Parts: sequence; structure tokens; C-alpha cells
Amino acid sequence: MEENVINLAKKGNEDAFENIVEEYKTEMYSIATVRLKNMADVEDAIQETLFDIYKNLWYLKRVAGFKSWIIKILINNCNDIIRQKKESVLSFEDSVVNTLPDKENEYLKLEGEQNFFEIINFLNEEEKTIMTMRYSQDFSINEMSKILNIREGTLRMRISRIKEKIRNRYEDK
Amino acid sequence: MSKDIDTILEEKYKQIKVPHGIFHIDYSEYNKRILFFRIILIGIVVAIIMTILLYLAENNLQEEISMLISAFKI
Repeated sequence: MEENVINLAKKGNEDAFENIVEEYKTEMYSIATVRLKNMADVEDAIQETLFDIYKNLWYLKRVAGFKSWIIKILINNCNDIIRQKKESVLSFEDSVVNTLPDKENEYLKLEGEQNFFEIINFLNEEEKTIMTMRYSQDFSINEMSKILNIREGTLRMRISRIKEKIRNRYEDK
Repeated sequence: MSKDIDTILEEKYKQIKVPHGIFHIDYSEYNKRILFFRIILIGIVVAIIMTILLYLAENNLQEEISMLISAFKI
């Protein structure tokens, strides 16, 4: 995201603000989806985040960390919703993204029918967030470690463990 | 396995479609909420100041200040 777009948005330019939202909407949507139980909550978290960004953009000093700032706000809002509803993370049986496939032909489905959220649905909340950020290709390990408060080395190890977990689940035997 | 898990997940991520309308921006609503938030904030600040002033007016103002000064001197 260009610095001047953010600066324009800070001055109240609505077009610039919409450009920012457009730029990060897939990341925001995917992270909210993996953390929350249903679509209404995802929508609430996103709306709250848009409002928080709009409200606090003016105070933002460091434009360089803008993306991390947005995602942190989103994750906090998701956590607030979870806390309010006393719901834990997306449960396996009761999820917005359907149930997981039968053991047979899982890999075939992995390549074809299933969407991203369905594939990673069996992981826990943190693992899903890590994988979503990892595959968005927009976050460096450094940025992810700052947002998630996990040390870089630990994060790298977790990513490879989670991948192994997915591989084990879906690989043809 | 025809494709690596990395490649599959990368492709699947790219296929994510954001539902229409979920990123609707209602500026008038946002501005109303900001205004409400600021009014509440100003209200709290004014209430705190008034409470302090009333307390100082009810008690002896000079006495309070001299006590404060002597406390700092110690």
C-alpha cells in the first residue's frame, strides 16, 4: 500500500480509505472467517474493524506498520466477539465451512472440490490463522511474528508442523 | 499425489471470493458513532474536573494546596 494513499485517507479522503479496504479485504475476510463461527460474526468483526480503522487512522504515526495494525485490530475484534458470545473457536462439527470429507479420496477432494477454509478447518484457531496469513503471501515471517506475538523461529517451526499435519491428513496412503 | 500441499493451498487461497456487501462502508454511521464517542469522552472529563473543583470548593482550597506543597517538600 502506497504511503500517500494512507496519508490521504488520514486526511479524510474517502476514495483513499476505500482503496485501503479494497487492498486488504481478502486478508481481512479470510482471517475473520477462520477465527469466527458464523458469517454474521465475520460481518460484525469486519464492520467493527472498518470503523476502528476509520476512527483511529488519524492517530496512526507509523505508516510502515499499517498492514500489521489493521490485522491486529481485526484479530482483537474477533477475540472480543468470541469472548462476548463465550464461544470458543470454530468447532469441527458446527462450522460455517461445512464438514470435512470422508477419509477416502480426500486428496482428490483437496485438489478439486474443497475450498481453502474447508481444507484447514480441522486445525485449531491459531493454526488456521497462521496458515491463512502464510498463504495470503502478503505477510513476511517478521510481520506475522509481530502480529501473532510468536517468535520468528517458533513461527517457522509451527508452519512446517502445521503443513505436516495437513499433509498427513490428506495424503493418499 | 499430483500436487504439493503448498501449491494446492496457494491456489485455493487465490480462489477465495469475498462475499458482496460485507465490506460496506457507511460513513454517516461511522461519523455518528465517533461524535457519540467524543461527547461521552468530553462528558467524562468535564465530570472529573467538576468533581475535583466541587471537592476543593467544599473543603478549604488554600489548606489543600498548602498540604500538597508541604507533601512535595518532604
